[in-house]
Amino acid sequence: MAESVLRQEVRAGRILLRAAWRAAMGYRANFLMTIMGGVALQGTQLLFLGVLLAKFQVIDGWRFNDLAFLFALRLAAHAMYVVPFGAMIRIDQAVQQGDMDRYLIRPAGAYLQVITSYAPLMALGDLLLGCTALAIFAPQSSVDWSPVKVAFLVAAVLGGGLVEAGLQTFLAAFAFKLTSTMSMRILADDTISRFSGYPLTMFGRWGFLSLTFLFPMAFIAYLPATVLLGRTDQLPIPTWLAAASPAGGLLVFTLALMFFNRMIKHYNSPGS
Amino acid sequence: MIEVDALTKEFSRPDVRPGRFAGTRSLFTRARKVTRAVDGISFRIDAGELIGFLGPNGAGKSTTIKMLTGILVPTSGTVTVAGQVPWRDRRQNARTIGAVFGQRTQLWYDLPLRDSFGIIRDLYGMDAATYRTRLGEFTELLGLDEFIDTPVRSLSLGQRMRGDLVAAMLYAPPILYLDEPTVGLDVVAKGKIREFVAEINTRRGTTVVLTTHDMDDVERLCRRVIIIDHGVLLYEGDLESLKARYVTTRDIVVHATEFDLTSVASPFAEVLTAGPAKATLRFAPATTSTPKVVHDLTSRYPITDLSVLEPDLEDVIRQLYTERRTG
Repeated sequence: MAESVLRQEVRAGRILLRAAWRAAMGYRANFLMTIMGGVALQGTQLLFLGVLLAKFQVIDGWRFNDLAFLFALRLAAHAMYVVPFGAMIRIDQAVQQGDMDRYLIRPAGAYLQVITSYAPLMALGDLLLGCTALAIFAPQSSVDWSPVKVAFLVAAVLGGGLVEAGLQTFLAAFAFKLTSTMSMRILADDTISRFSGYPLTMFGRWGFLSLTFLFPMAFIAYLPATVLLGRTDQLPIPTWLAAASPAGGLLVFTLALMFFNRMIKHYNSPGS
Repeated sequence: MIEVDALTKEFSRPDVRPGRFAGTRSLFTRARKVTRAVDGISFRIDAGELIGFLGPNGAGKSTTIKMLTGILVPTSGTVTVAGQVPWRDRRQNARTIGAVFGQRTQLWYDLPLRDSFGIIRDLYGMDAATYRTRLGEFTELLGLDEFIDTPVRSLSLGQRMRGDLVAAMLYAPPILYLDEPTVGLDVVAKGKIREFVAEINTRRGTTVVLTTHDMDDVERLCRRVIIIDHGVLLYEGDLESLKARYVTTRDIVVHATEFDLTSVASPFAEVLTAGPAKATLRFAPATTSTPKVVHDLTSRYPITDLSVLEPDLEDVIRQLYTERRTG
């Protein structure tokens, strides 16, 4: 039963995504401009990153090349969040304007319909930046690459995306009760983009622990990077936990999705 | 088909008393103001019925429909639709029901109408042949030909509503909910929609729950009505007995061009207003038949035009509500 629901969801997701992209391409000029804009914006980010990291040289014992790799890992993970889940940004709108009504009476999950409601074009810029940054900085890092480590890297990027998606999904679920969650979600997004690409132990033991277990941002890039770089001795948590970090994304996301589905019962459709 | 028992829905929001710093206080207050939109209503609708679900604005109609469709979760009471609890078995429920909400489209706004139908075909896993036949039939019935390749955002309200109806019926759900499907439409569009609804109800046996303020919709389509106000069930039964019970008088308007109607009178009707060219009289259809009054007036006065005013729904509901309040 569970498997057939999953299969239905995958099929529905494909149908809805195709519709969203077709709709986006209906506005041809906007489509091209947005993609170009996204790429330009992220290009300047990449330049800025180079300048910033070159200035610092060493943070918490990490040298420039490894810092750059850590940051690239977080950018790639971020892309794994914004490309599939980016449309979640409109959750408040869906709740306030009643698009949710429609999602609740179609034969597909409401969450799936929220994240496939439109094509997040800007996210393609994020994807390009993430991949480019990783392609540039991963070889320059002090990681001693092997097939296993490359596989771990891929899992870490996907898992990191799921951690971010999970955190945002958790906050988005409050839209059913509070109607407006935009500022909370922006705050979370800002915090993640500002700090998750740095060695989080720089915040001290308690700072690090809360960013691991409370607001589990450490799983996005820092923990997998320490594993790849062989720096887990620096962590105040067991090595196996850091090594399991890609699975952390799956856990965080699954819990958040369950929470989201539970919160739907608080939905007060507008105009009723 | 649809069974509703003691259904209740409450909405709560922070209770903020107006005054200084009301906005700031709203952030901290723990007091909640609870409004009961639907207050313990029970009814049942059998398969194949076409039922009018009526009531004034804010009566709780939409809230009830949204609980029936599974959009809202009841505060208490139960709803079962085709043996399922709509909000719990959402996926199964989606295949059992079609819904058209007059105020809001279910179609893909930026895509041509035809694409929306294609997406629905895929989502509901319809086979190509059934889809083609059904879409063909509906297109003919509703006259979609002229605009089926137009993006939904460019459709007129009447066109969009017809598109929404087709989208709701393509996968042939046994139950169709229509929430004000004719609001704001012109006569032609209204006519087409009524025709379609009557057709799917009689020919396909689709159970239809229709919410509307349009008395014409109700009279042309519904055999039975459910009327609610303030979340409470006021009436459940057929339309004829409702009228017989609550509308005891009827008005007749007469016009004359070459005669002064100021002194008009009739043994069968009471004069409400009388001017030189136009007069309104009221009679009781239960004791005096309409033809009798008409005959009396036309035989004694040189009347050029005459009309009998049908009672309107709002009046009926108002009477119903007043009666309930005064006990």
